[in-house]
Amino acid sequence: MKYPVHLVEDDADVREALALLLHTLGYRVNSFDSATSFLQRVPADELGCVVADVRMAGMSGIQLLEKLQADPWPLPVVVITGHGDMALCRRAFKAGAVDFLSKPIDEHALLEAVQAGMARLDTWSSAHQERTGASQRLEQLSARESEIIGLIADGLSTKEIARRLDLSPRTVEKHRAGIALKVGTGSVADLVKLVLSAT
Amino acid sequence: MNSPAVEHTAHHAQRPGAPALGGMQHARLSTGLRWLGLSLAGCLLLAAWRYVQLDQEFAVDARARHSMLAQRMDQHDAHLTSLAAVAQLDDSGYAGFNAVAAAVRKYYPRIAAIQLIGLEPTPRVLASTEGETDLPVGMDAVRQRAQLLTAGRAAVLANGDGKHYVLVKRLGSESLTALVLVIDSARLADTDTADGAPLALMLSDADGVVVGRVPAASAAQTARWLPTLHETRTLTSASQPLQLSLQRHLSLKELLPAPLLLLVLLGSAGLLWLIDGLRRTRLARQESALRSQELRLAHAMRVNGLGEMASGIAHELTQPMTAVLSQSQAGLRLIENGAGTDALVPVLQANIRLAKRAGDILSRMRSYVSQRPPLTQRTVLDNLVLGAVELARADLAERGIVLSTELGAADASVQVDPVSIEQVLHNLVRNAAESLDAAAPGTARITVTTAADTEGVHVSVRDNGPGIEPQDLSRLFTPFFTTKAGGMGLGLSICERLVEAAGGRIEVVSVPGSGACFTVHLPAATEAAPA
Repeated sequence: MKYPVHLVEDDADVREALALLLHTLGYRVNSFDSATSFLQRVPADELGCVVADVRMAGMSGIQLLEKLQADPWPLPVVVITGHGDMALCRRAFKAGAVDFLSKPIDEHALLEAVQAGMARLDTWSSAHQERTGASQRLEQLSARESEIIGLIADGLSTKEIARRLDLSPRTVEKHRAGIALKVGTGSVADLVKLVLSAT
Repeated sequence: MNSPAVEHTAHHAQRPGAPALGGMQHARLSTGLRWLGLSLAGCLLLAAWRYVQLDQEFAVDARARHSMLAQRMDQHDAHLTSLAAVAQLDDSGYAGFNAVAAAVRKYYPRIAAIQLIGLEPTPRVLASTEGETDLPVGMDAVRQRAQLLTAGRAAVLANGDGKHYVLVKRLGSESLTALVLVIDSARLADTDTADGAPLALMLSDADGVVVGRVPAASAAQTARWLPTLHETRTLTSASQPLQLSLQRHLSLKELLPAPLLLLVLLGSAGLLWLIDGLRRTRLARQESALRSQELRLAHAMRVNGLGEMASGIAHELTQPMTAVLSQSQAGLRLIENGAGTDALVPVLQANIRLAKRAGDILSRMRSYVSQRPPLTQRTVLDNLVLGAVELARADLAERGIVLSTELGAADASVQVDPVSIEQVLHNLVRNAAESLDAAAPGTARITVTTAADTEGVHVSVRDNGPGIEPQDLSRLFTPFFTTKAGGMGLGLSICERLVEAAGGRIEVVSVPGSGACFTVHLPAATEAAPA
């Protein structure tokens, strides 16, 4: 497994038991006794699926979930609670929780939720890689080339670009050839895809 | 703070059976007064009874005295008759008369003198036992009186000094002669025996002239305010138709004889003791009935409050149940993965611990709702408060109230019945929560604070609700006073009783608009108390 489970639970007995169960399910587990100590974890950028209890002293699991959602690439959060009601459940899902589990938690439900969280992490992670690749390729372009590829992505023809930038069509063609050389493709469709995945 | 804090007067514990010092002095004083009053009433009754008794005695005495006097006066008449007979038959020397008169005087000392007086032409003593002694009345008076009498009749003459009177008898008709007896009043009234009560005696004739006055024999100390017994009787003697007035002054000693007085004083003290004993027994019975009622009521309130605590209890139980389930499922997986038995030991140990944790919660619930007498034990205050507050947490979370605790009593212990104090705290927290019903979402807050100092330990439950109306503050702990729709008004009064039973007090400070703060003050457990 690539990513660990971040278990945030203030009851020592429950934390210990869930950690053991997740361990036997084959996960690496990082245990935290409060949302605050989780947010101060080292290393701070380690990815993982968060399993957080709702009712904790200090910051609650829901508050933690909402705080994490503010990140551009939010970690998946499985919310667990001993006292689940509809309002709380709705609030959790609205905030983007992967799943909402009531205690006592069945191992299958927990496994599914954590697997779903891990899958979300995988998806986001590959999207992230794609994006970073596209960004790297676009970074090679000069300022004029970046400007022109943006207009190409907007669907403008060479003539239209030349008119917009007050250049001759020939100069634009020359820039397009340079772009094709640097990013490895000259097709309009590929260029559009590249620009979109980088933003 | 724009409005002044209205501080409710502290509710000091006034436990039954432990009255304040002033109260004790007051009780002693009132017992003294009641004893005095009862003794006084007893003395009056005793005096009244003695009065009736003495009056009866006096009536008997009076009758005896009356018949004695009547008898003696009849004797005077007999003497007069016999002396007259002797005088009329005697010679001119009156030797016979003198002999008889001397004999009479010898046996009847009350007859002071016997004289035979010739009244015509001038009064002269013909014969006398005492020679020429002066009569208490003048010769002319004797003559005038004798002239009015028919021969053979006798009458009384007196000078009014009350010491003597004169009995005049007219003899024969040819020559006016009178036989005179001088009677000594004191001796006339003298009783032969020394018994009987001291009587004052007065004899008077039909015209009211006093013919004899004898003061009471013993001058017993008499007070003017004490009652006097009177009796007036008429003596039916023909010669001496006198009025007999008898008077008896009662003395304090007679009305209140010392032994009986002592008996009354002791008796009233005993009666008072008996009454107080009965009253104490009755009070004790009422007190115990009240206490058992309060116990039942406190129990009913706990059972009643259980519904509100249900979510808290559920959450408390959920934690160990969750851990048990996860531990067990993990254990099964360990076996499936081929782990040895060693790997299962911590799992089973954890499950045992968790099952005990759940069991503890259940037994705490059971003791909370069970109907049992209070059981005081040494308890760490902060743990007690934490336990009570945790149960309320779930309910408060549902209501959207932030509950915070500031436990600053460290390891300070109290010697209390934990269930009672838990109930008090639960009640205070619930009241605070209900006062926050109308609060804007996200602002409602309850703070539970503990502190310990030299005066004892203190637990405060503070809310930021609307506070308590100043006019309600003083009635807050009165049974059946409530500001809640559908409230019974028993919660705080029960709380106060429970806190007082633990030797503490409860007070409230409220700032209208900023919330209320209830503080329970409890005495700290002494270090020497067994843990």
